[in-house]
Amino acid sequence: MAVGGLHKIEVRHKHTRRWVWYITAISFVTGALFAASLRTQGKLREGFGDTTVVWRVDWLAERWRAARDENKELRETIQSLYATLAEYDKTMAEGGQVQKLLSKELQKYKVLMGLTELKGPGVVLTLKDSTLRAPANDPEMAEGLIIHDRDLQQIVNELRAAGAEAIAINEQRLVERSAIRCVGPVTHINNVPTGPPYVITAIGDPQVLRSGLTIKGGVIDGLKLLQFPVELKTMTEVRVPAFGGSSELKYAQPVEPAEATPAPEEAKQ
Amino acid sequence: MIWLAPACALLCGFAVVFALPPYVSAQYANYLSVALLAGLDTILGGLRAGLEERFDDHVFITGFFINMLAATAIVWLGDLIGLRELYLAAVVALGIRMFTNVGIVRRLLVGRTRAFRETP
Repeated sequence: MAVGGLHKIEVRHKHTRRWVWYITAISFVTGALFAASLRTQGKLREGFGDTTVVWRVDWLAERWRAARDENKELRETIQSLYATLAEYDKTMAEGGQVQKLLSKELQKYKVLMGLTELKGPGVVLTLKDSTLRAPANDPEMAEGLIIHDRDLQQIVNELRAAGAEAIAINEQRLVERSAIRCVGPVTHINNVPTGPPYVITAIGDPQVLRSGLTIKGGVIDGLKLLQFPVELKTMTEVRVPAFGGSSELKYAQPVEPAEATPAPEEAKQ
Repeated sequence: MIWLAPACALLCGFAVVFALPPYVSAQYANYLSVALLAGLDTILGGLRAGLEERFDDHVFITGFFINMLAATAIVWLGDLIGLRELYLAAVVALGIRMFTNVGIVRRLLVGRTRAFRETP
């Protein structure tokens, strides 16, 4: 009896061990699945959308870092080139009569190119996204309640039509080759990302600029209708920063004066 | 003491994968979660069968793979026919089974402990 009982216990023990090992193996796999699931959900919670492939985000982040570093380097190059230019200007201004004349002329064109900081009477316009809130199920309305590139373009157009001589949006000077465009949630001005609030400074006749902007049915009228906070101030002196980007011409070449076609009538002043 | 083996394995598996960077694309997150449930269900089912002394290794191993395949297949089918909530079918089925098995395992263990204590 006692021997039989011992034998039974031994058999059961062996049996027990066997199934526990099977469960152990599956436990390992399940643990691995648990970890993988947790990490994936963690990544999701960090907000990488629900269809974005996680490795792609990593890759994009890497690309973005590289581009940002390159951008920084190029900006530094531009800064150093401007410093060299200033050095040349100084040498020229200290030189003889002809050089002084040339220096004055150069300064004039730099002002026209937007390469110098300017001051004068003008307006400061501050724009923010609408205070209205769109219902969660209406993305189209939500789109309509934020400031878009086209709003800024219209305002700039209006300012130029009203004779603005220098315009900057959020410290980015608008020059001949400036572009304003939406890139995802931000707006790029001169390829520099910026966002609301948009502070637009313009130099010109303050009253003319103001009436140009606030014309009935104009762009500001439309924005106010949708409860965009718009603040327009006329100032006796505003400052517009210099253009900080590159103004190199890569494709355009000047035509020799001898073979140039005369400018159209309207352009002559 | 033998119970430490599955627990350790679970922790080891967890640690090994947790140390790696998460490289599962987010659109397959549901598949992973459902497969995990199938794994947990298999462990509990095996535990129950073992305690009831009717553990069969073939049933156990095939159960593990087939359950996992079936669960992920349901998620896949849901994605395919635009019924993304179909994965809930797998979640509910596995969830109910897990609760049942936990209950049975609990009763078996309680009974066993009591029998052990009351043995003179």
